[in-house]
Amino acid sequence: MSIRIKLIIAFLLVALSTISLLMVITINHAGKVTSEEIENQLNSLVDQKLQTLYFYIEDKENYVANLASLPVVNSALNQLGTSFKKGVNNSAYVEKNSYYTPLLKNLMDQTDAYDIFLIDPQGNIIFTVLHESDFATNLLTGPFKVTQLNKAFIRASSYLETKITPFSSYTPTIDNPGSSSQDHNAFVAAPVLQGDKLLGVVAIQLHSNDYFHLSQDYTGIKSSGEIVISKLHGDYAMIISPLRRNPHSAFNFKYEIGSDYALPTQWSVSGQKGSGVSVGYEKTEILAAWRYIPELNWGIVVKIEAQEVFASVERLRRYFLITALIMALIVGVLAVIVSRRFTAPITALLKGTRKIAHGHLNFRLPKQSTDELGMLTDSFNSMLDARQASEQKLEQSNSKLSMVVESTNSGIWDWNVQTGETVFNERWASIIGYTLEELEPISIKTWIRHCHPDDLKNQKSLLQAHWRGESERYTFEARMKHKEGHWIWVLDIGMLVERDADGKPFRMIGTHRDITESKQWEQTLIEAKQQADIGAQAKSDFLASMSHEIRTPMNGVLGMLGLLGKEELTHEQARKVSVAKGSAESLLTLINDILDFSKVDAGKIELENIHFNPVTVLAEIVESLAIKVEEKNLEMVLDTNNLTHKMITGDPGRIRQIVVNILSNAIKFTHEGEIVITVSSEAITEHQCQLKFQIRDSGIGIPKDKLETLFDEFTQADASTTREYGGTGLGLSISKKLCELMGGHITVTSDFGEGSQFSFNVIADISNKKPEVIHEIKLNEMEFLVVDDNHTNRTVLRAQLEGWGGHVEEAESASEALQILEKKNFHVAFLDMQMPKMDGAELGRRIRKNEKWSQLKLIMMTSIAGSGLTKVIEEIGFDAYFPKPVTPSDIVDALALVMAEDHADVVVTRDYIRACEHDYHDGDWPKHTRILLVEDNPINQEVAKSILQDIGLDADAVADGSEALNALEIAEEDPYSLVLMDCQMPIMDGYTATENIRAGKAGEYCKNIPIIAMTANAMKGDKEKCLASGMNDYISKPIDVLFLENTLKVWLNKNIKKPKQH
Amino acid sequence: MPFKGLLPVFLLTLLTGCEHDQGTLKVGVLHAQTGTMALHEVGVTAATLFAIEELNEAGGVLGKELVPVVMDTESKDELAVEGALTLILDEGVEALFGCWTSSCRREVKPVLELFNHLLFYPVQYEGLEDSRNIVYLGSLPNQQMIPALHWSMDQFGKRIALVGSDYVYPLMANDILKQHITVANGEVLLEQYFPLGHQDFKAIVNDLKNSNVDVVFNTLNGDSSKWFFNELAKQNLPTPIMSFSVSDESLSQVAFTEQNQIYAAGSYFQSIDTKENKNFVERFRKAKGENIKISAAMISAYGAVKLWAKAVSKIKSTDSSTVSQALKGEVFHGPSGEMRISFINQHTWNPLYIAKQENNQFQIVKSFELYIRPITWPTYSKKVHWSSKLDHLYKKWGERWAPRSDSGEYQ
Repeated sequence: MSIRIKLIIAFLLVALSTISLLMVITINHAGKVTSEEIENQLNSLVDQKLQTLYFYIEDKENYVANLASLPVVNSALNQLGTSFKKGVNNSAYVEKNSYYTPLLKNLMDQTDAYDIFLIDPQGNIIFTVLHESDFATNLLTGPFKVTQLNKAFIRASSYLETKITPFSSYTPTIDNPGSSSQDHNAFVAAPVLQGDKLLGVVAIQLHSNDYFHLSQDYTGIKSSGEIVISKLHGDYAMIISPLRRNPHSAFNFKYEIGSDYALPTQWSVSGQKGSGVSVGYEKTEILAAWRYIPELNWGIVVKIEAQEVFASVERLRRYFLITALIMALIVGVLAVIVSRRFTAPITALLKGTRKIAHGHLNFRLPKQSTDELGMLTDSFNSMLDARQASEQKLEQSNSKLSMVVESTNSGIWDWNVQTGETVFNERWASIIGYTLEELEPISIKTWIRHCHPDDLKNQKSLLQAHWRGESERYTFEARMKHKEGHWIWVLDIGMLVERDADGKPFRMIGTHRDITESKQWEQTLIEAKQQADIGAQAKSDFLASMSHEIRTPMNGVLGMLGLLGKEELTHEQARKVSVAKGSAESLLTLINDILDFSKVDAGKIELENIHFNPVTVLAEIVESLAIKVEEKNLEMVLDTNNLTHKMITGDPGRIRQIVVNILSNAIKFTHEGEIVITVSSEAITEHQCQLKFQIRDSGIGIPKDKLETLFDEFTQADASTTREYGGTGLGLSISKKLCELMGGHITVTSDFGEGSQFSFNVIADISNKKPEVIHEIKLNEMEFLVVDDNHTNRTVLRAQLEGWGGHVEEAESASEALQILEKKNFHVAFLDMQMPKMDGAELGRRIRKNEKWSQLKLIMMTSIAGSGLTKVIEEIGFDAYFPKPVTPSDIVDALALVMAEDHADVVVTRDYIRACEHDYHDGDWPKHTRILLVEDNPINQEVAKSILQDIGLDADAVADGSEALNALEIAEEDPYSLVLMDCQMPIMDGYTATENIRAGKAGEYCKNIPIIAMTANAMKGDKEKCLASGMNDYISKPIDVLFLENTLKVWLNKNIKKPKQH
Repeated sequence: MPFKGLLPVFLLTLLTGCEHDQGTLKVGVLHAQTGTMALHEVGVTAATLFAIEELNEAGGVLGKELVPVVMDTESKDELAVEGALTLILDEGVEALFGCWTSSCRREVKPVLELFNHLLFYPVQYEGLEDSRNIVYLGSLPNQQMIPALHWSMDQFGKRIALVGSDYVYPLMANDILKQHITVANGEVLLEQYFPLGHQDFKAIVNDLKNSNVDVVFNTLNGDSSKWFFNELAKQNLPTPIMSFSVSDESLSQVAFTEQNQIYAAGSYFQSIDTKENKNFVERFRKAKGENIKISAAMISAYGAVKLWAKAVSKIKSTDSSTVSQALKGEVFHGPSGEMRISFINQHTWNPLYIAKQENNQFQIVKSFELYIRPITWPTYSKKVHWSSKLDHLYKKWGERWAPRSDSGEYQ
């Protein structure tokens, strides 16, 4: 079918279907709307009729009710009633009658009544105007007792009601000449009361003519409209008013209830209300509205013939049909014209293209119009032009390309992937020193044969990747065997240009370039870089060893200056020595920093892997810096509430270094206010967590422009800062590097003048070790070996161990130690690291090599901390490792741990002990524990007491040493268990007091009482001084609850033998 | 071709245009669920809700589901006023179904008239009122008390005692009754009113026992009627009692004696022997409980919902003026027969039965002419006469429709 025919059909189809659809919908809708509208009209019409009728009823009822209260009616009833008894012909009655007749007739006429009645309470009709046969009869007993008037009388007289009666035929009236039998009457009666006494009843008679007009007013209904008033008459609905098309219908037409016509009439008399399409009394289809009037037992119907209603709809339908036909005609003609206009240029185009297809390539289509078809013609023509031009270009570029291909420096290949057929150009062959002829027969195998076998291995995966579309180009570097026998480097760049119908690779083309020369360059570059790296490494190494080398003589300088300072010097000399010492110390700090920095820079820092609890590490730092903080009157707050990982594995020393660095700065640059350290942790994987540290101070702050370079080496906030506060400017740089080494970073924010906030984080392994439980241990009868070249160290340690009941042997050197070990079995050996000839590590290694000492526990003591020794010590097989000085409680704990059978395979360090739990932690204190607190400062006294109370201990407090002696002496019968002794006190200080106690001046029993010093930790020598005076242990102020508790546990524990008296 | 695209759009518009809208219609139920009136009104509420449920099952009204909002008046008039305000203003109900006592209705009336809202009132009352905003479904004195009076005087004699609750309905209804008694040469020997919720009837029953009263007219409301009956039974009073505000629910659990003669007049008794009634009783008891007693007011309340729904469906509007216009002459065929709204006033044509207590159930002893026309204002006295009497009571009680009571339950 041609476009033209299709167009015509489509036009007609669309137009006709639209029109017919519209027609159907509109006619349906119009029908519905029309009938709805008419129905509404009928409803409101019938309601209007009802309104009129009810107005009539109410009017009559009100009128009669009103009559009853009129004096004239009252007096008429009275007087006529009296005279009536004498007979209606009696002159008395006649007289009264003639007096009242015009009055009452007037009242009757006013309401258009047919007659008016006065009835006495006994039912006698004592007055009427018309004097029909009912006059002077008795309504209860007389001939008319079965009338509506009788009913009206009874209603009024006994129920005192005024209600209209239904219309019906009334014999006295029918009998009256001039009336017809079709006349119907209704009555309205009202009681006439005199006070509470019934005087009689007044009633009016209404005639059916009154309502006939109701059914004869056709305003508002169409020409077929009718109003049907009927009433139920036996089993019939009787029409009681004239009909439009039959004036004599009243009382003549009746329809049996249940018959299949006059339905609305039947419904109306049986009490229904409604409207709709139904069958009329003429058995035609009608639209009607019907109502029931219960007061009169009437039904009323307003109806209209359906034919008339729908006539307009029918007309509409006809108009539509005609319109549709005309429209179809117009559309048809239009379709023919339009389709011709459409198709003519298309036909021309068709002819033109056919011509071109037959080879007339220079033919151009004639342009016929400027519309879309004209544009199409133009486009077609220009397409032809463009095609001609591009064909020419293609031809040109083809010839160019072949020139290029032949003259290019690159080899070209074209490979049929499926058959292996391959085409190379001459250059391809010449790259490897051949001519194409020499390589015949050429296939992909030609290439494979010349390719280096090692390189071929990689080729396949590269090719597959390209085929899968993962790489845009296939790029491959390979060595090819030159005709002359050497290898040359070539670069192949290719592309898959065709796939077969199944999507499999079909054809690839590419180039083949000699890159031997650039390959050689590349090699040179790599070597140069390696050289440079070695240089940088050498520099770092140099710096590190330099610093180390400088440090050694610096130690000499410092030592000598120290010695010099102790000699007797003049004031000037002393000042000079002090300045020299200060400078030397600064230099040493700088050197240490440089050493650290160069180590970091050279990647030489090795991180420890120690199990520890960050809380204890921080607590120690805070404790150690407490003095400085106190001196400056600052607040220092440590918040570890959000630290969820209590046991981790990492390098506590390095973390300590960073924190101390930042914290020292904070203390240094803060003159008032507070320093807040916040630590939190969150898991990042199952095995790792991130520790977040934040140190906020309220110090002088850092200017914005300095923030960026703050972590660069040799940078400080200000040159003047260096002058004022000192420092090398390396600390933060080292901290930054350490953070990065531990997988984190460090940042700073600061408001100049308001304070600074340093935040850093590190990544640590979550330790799967549960905090180990430190059990009680019996140290008596244990065999100890102490190996140290320093005599004092040996003596102090021996004293402590023997104090707990252990047996101690000493060795001055490693070789002596080995000799002693050969002779005797020991439980534990304490080895000093720094010893001449053979150091502690080497000694440990030797001991561990010997099977028979495998049970010996080895504890390393060193004065150099944080030097990455843990790893070495662990490898050797040491059980514990402590930097000096070691507190006695740490030693006890360490011994308890290493001697325990279920001890984890971990090197015990101070950090590890801090992370452990004491099994006697939560237990009860021994019974009768009494503590004497010796402290002069009342505030400190309060603090100590409340801490003791918190852990369940009560203490008596005294203010100085002499009071303490007294208190101990008095308490002989209820002895004290332990003394907490402040060192600096007036009257008698702690050292003196201890010496006195040990000398028995406070009573024999407390010669061995445990005395624990509370030191301000100000000087390094304090602790030694405490132990030397006879105290058993020491804790630092401010008092840490945990440390205090641990220490007390150790010393209140009965299983530890009290130390011997010095 | 541009037409092709338009055609489906055109069709779609036609189709969707015919779609009916969905949603809900709220109706207010304003009855006491607690307090002295709960005896009557819990049942009325159930009947109202039952009608709503039936309508919803049949697809709702105007295609929308009816949602009842029940407000408990707690047998307190001021709470009824508040409840009416809440239902009209806050809940936005389309119509109200509620009130038992005349005092409740008369208190709520100004609210209804202010907001031109429609209340359907299901209880027999004194008349003397004809608000365009209330559809009265209960019987007026001319539909209940007056015919019952004449029947009683014929049956028992003309010496009459009047016992009622102390509020507007018993007082005004008896006022009308007294006029009729006098005209009929009857005699009122005793007349006494008790506060609503009153429980002690020992003295009055004793007084009755010692009098020569032929018949007692009882207009007690709320649970007082039960206490009264109990006392009658206790003292074995043989005088016939004609009650106007009771139904089977007031009889339950009273141990009547052989001598007790308890009568009631009403537009409905549960024992009416018609197919429609039996069917309804069965349906209603299945939904609301096998032991539930059905009163005339419950039937009126049930019919009220149905009549409202019928009018709304016809005029497709819930506007109260339009609904009230459409209700004129409307009729519902219920369990008690036809319920027809008068064209003259907004009252119903009601049937009348007189029933006698037998085994704690009222059995019909007399059926009157079917469907008595409602007459609101007795015509033998002028309207102004009734108005001034009402006004007098209203002022006497301190501008309310019932005297203040110390119990606080009914004020």
